[in-house]
Amino acid sequence: MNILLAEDDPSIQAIAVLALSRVGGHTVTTVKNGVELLEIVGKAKPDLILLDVMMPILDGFETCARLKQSEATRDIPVIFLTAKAQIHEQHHGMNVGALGYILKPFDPMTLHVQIDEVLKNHAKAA
Amino acid sequence: MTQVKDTADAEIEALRATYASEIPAKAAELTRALDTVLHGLGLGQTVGWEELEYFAHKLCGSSGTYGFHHLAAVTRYLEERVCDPAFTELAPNLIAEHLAKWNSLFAQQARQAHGRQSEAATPESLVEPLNEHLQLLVTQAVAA
Repeated sequence: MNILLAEDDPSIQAIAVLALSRVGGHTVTTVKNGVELLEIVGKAKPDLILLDVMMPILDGFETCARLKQSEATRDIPVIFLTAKAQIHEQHHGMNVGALGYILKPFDPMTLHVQIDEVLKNHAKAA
Repeated sequence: MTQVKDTADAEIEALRATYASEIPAKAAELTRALDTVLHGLGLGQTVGWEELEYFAHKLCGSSGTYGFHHLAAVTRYLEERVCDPAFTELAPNLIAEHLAKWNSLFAQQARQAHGRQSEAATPESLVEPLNEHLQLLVTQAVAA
């Protein structure tokens, strides 16, 4: 799977890339914020977008909303990967069109499994 | 599969060592943001709270992911307080008193994580004294 990850913290980027590529076998492209993501999403053509919530310039919620407003990107699955753990924040993420929520801290050895579960659960519900 | 796991484990361990070496710099960012808030409180101003939330949020997510669960618990505590009106609407001197107490625990945990020392207490029990202190402050504020 070709995954586009938006995450402004380099230390999280590094371990997420390792988790998704070396452990999960996926191809990963990284950007530092929502603006960078929106700039390259058309070219990157990801199968999945992983979005941090709290990022400078353009946060994850607004980025997801803009992805869902565009015909070209609205069908790309989005999962939030964030430490924003409160229920109302998770609801907000779902309301702007995300498939699911994976909370930090995450286990790098099982991150790919968590992603698979979110995708499977969504497929079941659809 | 086992070979992939072993290689990944080794790479994660290398990243963890790098992260531990960066903890003093990350802690300093958060402490600077805290100092800004405390300075503002001293002047009767509300400044720097968003930045404090940002650095607490980032350090919470990254430290926990790298296995530093005590540091994550302490920074999560701060992030939650910063977003909690029951805390932010306390009198400035009470907020400052509690943040100073928090900072003492944070500095200790940052040092331990940097030195990769073993963590004895559970993360939950670590922040319990902070919860008790805050409860005491809230009770005092209501009584006043």
